[in-house]
Formats: sequence, C-alpha cells, structure tokens
Amino acid sequence: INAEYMGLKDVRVLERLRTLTMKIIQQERNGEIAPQRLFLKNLTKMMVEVNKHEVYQPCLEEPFLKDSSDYYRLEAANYFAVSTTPDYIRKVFKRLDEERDRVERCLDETTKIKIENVIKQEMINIYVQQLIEKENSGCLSMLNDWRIEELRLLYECVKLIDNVQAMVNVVKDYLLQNGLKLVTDPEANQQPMNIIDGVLDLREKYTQLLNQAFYNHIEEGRRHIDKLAETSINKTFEDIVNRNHRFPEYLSLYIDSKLRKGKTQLRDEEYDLVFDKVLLLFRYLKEKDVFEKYYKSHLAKRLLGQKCSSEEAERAFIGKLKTEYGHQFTSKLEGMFQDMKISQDTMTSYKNRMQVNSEKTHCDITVQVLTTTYWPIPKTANVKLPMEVDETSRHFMRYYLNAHSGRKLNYQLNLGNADLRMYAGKQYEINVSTHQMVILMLFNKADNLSFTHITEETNIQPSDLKRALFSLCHAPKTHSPILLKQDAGKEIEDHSRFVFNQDFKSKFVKVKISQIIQKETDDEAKETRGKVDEDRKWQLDAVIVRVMKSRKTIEHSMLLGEVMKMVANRFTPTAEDIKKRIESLIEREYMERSRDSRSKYNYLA
Amino acid sequence: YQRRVHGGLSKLIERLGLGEDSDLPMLLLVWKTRAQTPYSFSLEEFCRLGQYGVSNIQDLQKHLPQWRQEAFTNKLGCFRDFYKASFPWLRSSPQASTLDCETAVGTWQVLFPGNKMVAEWCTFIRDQYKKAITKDTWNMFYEFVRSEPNFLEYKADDSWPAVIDEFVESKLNAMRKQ
Repeated sequence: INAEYMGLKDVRVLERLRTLTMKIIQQERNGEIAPQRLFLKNLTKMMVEVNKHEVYQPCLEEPFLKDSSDYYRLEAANYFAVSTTPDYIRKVFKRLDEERDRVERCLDETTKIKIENVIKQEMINIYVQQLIEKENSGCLSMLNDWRIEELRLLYECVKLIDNVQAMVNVVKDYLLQNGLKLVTDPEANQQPMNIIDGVLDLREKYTQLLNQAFYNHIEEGRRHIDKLAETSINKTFEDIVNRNHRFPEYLSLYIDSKLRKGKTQLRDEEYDLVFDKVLLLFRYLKEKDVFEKYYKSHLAKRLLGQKCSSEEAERAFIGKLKTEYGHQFTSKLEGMFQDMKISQDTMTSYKNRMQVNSEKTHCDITVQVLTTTYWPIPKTANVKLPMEVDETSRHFMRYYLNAHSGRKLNYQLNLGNADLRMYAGKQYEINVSTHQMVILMLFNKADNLSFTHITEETNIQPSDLKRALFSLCHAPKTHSPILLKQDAGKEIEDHSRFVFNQDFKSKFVKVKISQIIQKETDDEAKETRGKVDEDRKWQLDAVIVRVMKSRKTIEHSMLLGEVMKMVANRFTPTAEDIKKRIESLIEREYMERSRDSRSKYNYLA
Repeated sequence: YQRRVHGGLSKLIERLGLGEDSDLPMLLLVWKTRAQTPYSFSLEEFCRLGQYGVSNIQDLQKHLPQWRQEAFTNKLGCFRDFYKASFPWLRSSPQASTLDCETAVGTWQVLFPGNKMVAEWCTFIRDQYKKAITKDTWNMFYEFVRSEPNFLEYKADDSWPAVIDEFVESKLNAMRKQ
C-alpha cells in the first residue's frame, strides 16, 4: 500500500489524474453525459479509504475546487452580461443543485459544502450588488412591477450568502419613497381618508411581500418571516406614519367615518378587521396622545349627535386599545358612556316633573349633562340664543341645579342640534346644529344678511360660522341648499351675503343637514397641538416626581431613561423636554441636584 | 428682627470709599454676612462680621482685600461658596426666585473678568436668551465654567440646564459659519 501511496504523489500521475477528472466533470457541466463517471466515484472511494486528509483532499479535492473556481468565475462573467437577474439566479441555483448531486454521486460528502462555497463566492458574492441594481431586471424593477416570484428568488439568493441587508436596503428605500410621497402630498392632505386608505393598502402589500418572498423554513406548514426584513419594514412604516404631524388626527377621522352612522358605516362582521388594521397603524404612531385627543373629541361628537352606528363596536374598539395600552388610555372614555346613560335618566325625571306640575316651555328640549373631566375641554362661547331657546334652557338649568346643589352647568352651544319647522312652498322639518339654528332664526327678521352681520348678531366664532354656513349652502342629492350665497366663489368672505332659498325643494319632508366632521383648519390644529404640549408638560412632571419618589436618588441618564420608558406609550419626549421639566421641578423644590455629583438628583419630600 | 443698615447701601459704599467699583466688595460682604434680602443687610446679618474681628468701618476696609484674595484662590471651594452665596442678594425682589438678565450678566462680568467663554455667554444671555436666571442656572453655570468644557464633545442630553445646551448650540452654529 505504501508503494501505491508514493505512486500517487508522483507529480505526473497527479497531473494526469487532474486533467482526467476535470474532463469528466467539464463534460457533465456542459450537459454531456460523461461515460467515465463511475471511474470518478471509485477513485474517490479509494483515495478516501487510503487517507482522506493526505490523499483525497490534496490530490483530488483541492484541484477540483480550484478548477471549479476558475470555471465558475468565467461562467458567471459570461452569463451575468447577458441575463436578467432572475434568470441568472435560476442558473446559479441549478448549478448548485448539480454540484450537490455530483458530490453525492462521485465525491466525498465533505466536499459538498466546499463546492457550494465556491459557487457562492464566484457567482453570487461578487455579483450580489450588481444583481440587485441591474437595470430593468434588478430589485427596483421587480418592486415597480411587483413581481413577487422574482423577489422571492432574489431573497433566496441573498439569504444564501447571508447578505439579506443588501436587498432589504433597496426595499425599504422604495417603500419609504412611496410612503412619504403619499403622506406628504399636499392634495392628498385635503382628503385625509385617502391618506389612511393609501397607507393601509401599502401596509397590506408589504405584508404580502414578507409572507410570499421574505420567509424561511416551511416548518409544520408555517413560514418564518425574515426578521431583518420585517423589522426594517416596520421601522420604515414608523418613519412614514410619523412624518406627517397630522396623521394621528387623520387616523381618528378614519375611525370616525367607520363608526359613525351613515354612508360609511360598516356591517357588524367588518368591524374587527378594520379595527385590527387601524391598530396596526396606531402602533407606529409616536404621538399617541395626539390621537387620543382627537379620538375623544370625535367620539364626543358621535355620542352627542347620536351618531354612533353601534355602541358595541365603539366599546370593542376601546377594549382593543385598553388591551394594548392599559386602562389609562380608556378610563375617561368609559365615563363618557356613563354620562350618556345618566342623562337619559335625568331627562325622564325632568319631563315627568314638568307633566306633574303642568309646566310648559317654549321649546321641547333634551339635555345631555356631561362631567367635565371625562369630555374634551369645553369651548366657552357666548352665542346669542333666540329668546324662546334661551328661556327653555334656563328652565332646565333651574331644575337641574335645584336637584344637584353645588354643581355648575355650562351650555356647550358648539354641540347639539335643533329641529326647526321651515316653510318654503310647503312645510318641512329640518334638523340642524345649534349654531345653524341660531343663524337661520335671524332670517325670520331679515331677508339678506352679510357674514359680518351674522357674526355680530350671533357671536359665533368666524371659523365655526363658516363651517355652519358652508353646510347650509350645500346641496346634496336629496334637497336644495337652505341658504344661498350671493357672491361668486367657493370661499366665504366677510362681505359674503346670504339669503333664504325660497325655492327650496326636498325629496323628503324631514331634512337632516349633516354635520360633516372635517379636519381642523391649520389654526385649530395648532391650537390642539398647543393643548397637547401643555398636557405633556404636566404628564412629564408627574412621571418624574413618581420616579424620584420611588428611587429617592438617581443618576441623570437613568432618570431620562426611566421617564422615556414610562411615557413611550403616549409620546416620545426629547432629552431637552425632560430636562426643562427637571429644572422646573428643581425650582419648585420637588427635587434637587446632589451635592456629590451634578449628574445626580435627590427627591425632596 | 431685620433692620436696614442705617443710611442705606449707598452711604455704606461712600463710607468705605469704594466709588464706582463697589460691585465686588459688596458681594464679598454678602458672602461673609450671608445676606438673603436683595440689596440690603439686616442688623443680624451685619453683626456676623463680628466673628471676623470686624467692629467698625476701618476693620471692614482692611478685611475686604483679604476676603477678595480668599475668594479667588479657590482653595477648598471658596470661590464656589462665594459665588453661590450672592444669588439671594441679587434677586430682583425679596419674593422673586430669579435674577433679572441684566443683573446676572453684569455680575458674571465682574466675577469672571477676562474669561472669553463667560463673555460669550453674557452676550448670548443678553441678546438671545433674555429670560430671568434661576438659582439652578446660576449655580450650574459656575460648575460649567469650572469643567472647562469641550464644545465639540458636548452632549445635549447630559445633565446641564437647557439654557447651557442652547448656548453651546449657538456657539457651535457660529463656529460652523466661520
């Protein structure tokens, strides 16, 4: 055996062996059938038996790997130049399969991973970035035409060389670009619903992408989504959603349209799906407290306008928020529902009492009494009510205050609605907002009124007045406008004049002027944001004090960290924001800087 | 009980022969008496000078230069003690909790003569910040000066008061423009 061993190490023998081996393999690679395949298998077997490490590896395996390396380098260059990315990848996978097969048939098992690495290096590694960037067939082109199968191929390819990041980079930039365009488009911002629908669609698309392209090991029928891809896409959606500062408001408007009675309301079985979609976006919001403010305000309007299409649905949504974010989010909302119930009882007692005493008021009134802390901050406005309405409202006020001494009541005239009898050719019964009622009553005494005059007579805030007049001048399919604006143009100006529409016609005798909940004007949004900022200040104060109380003494950076964690569910303060509150609390002597270190704080009881 | 020094501050300054440069000596006096009420000394506070062997104007005149020496050598945190002690006395009123801008700037200029960074700080406070100075800001500013900060390595989420962050940022902006 020794002699044979020595013989094998003879250079000439080795050379001939090498040439022969590669000829066989070359033939196979070129698609021909090599008759000496069996020879290769036996050769391998023999060499491995003698000594794998000393004989098989240096004499057969090494030259094989080296020559294969050269072969594939050449093939890669040739093929890359003339193929599309998917075609190239398919070819690479085919070669990989072939080599695995060859190893199983004629070479030693341990060579498998080595030849795989050769192909990975020569055909993928070197070309990966170019494959991704190839014009007309690379990643961007696949995304543009949404060719999911090809994206799947590309993923498998990059996963092989552990460079998923290279592909994810392109995908997330593409997503970001599209998403940002969607949320920052000025025209789209006029139709907030479209923005939300757009982002929801985008989210669904990319969920599909993850499920159908970015997955591994189909275990027990389940796919494991690639973690890197999933995280990157989530982070990108976060960037998109938070780029538009009014997104929280828009999201609330979206839910409002689904929960509100009317054209856009949903069937019972649709709610769950919609809620889950909305929650998906909600989780991305960095300013959840802004959403809460708008949500509360919109919910209030739904409740008070009796516009909830389904109380069960309302509670279901609140329940989902509670599950994710704790009861802090939702405790006040429960109070709102409670107030509605109690008010019903109050009205019953009131009406009974009136009957018993044979009392009568000018108008028939229904009042909802709201507990201040539960509802959005009330607007103070001294709208000038018509005499009949004024007296009626005072009558109820007297009753209520007698029954509940020590309480204070303030009418919220920016809310509420009124039923009016209107004559235009024939009798109609119209339902309008309180503001609109006040405006329309003016037309009992005058035919033609200017915007300025109406402002003075009613005391309604200009922005509210514009909104009220706008829908009074609006004509849906079922009826004409109630008021006519005499000057041209869509915008309501100070000099605009209004007349009652004598030719008013309506399909139905009962006419409801719908109060479209619009997005706030820029000024109002600014005001809301101001309120949110104020809320955040004292929330930060409360959290800082809570942390200080429990820790007694704490390092500056730890304090920042703790505080940020505790409010993360609602908003993301900057270090600067927190520092300013710390200084304010130092000034008010809730805490002090430690004597030993300026970066430490002590709690002051 | 509190009784103002007879004749008022200006009389005292006159009697000490201080003239225009009365700021620093007054602050030294504040330091040694621990005076709390803005621009005045109670009898009790003034009598604390007794422990330094001061019983008349001449003694006071002799001690002032010594105290000045003591404050500025920064042994055992003397300067810090002196610096911090001046805050209550410089407030705009007995009920106020802050110093007005001008007073703070003026005092910093007196206490840190020739310090370039303090001069820039004073410009910043006077022209950009313009708000009253809290006790914390006052105290922390000294620590900041003392730490000889490197503006390029400065981190805004460190524990310095927010106004110092703003100062550093404005300085860095100015440096970038150059």
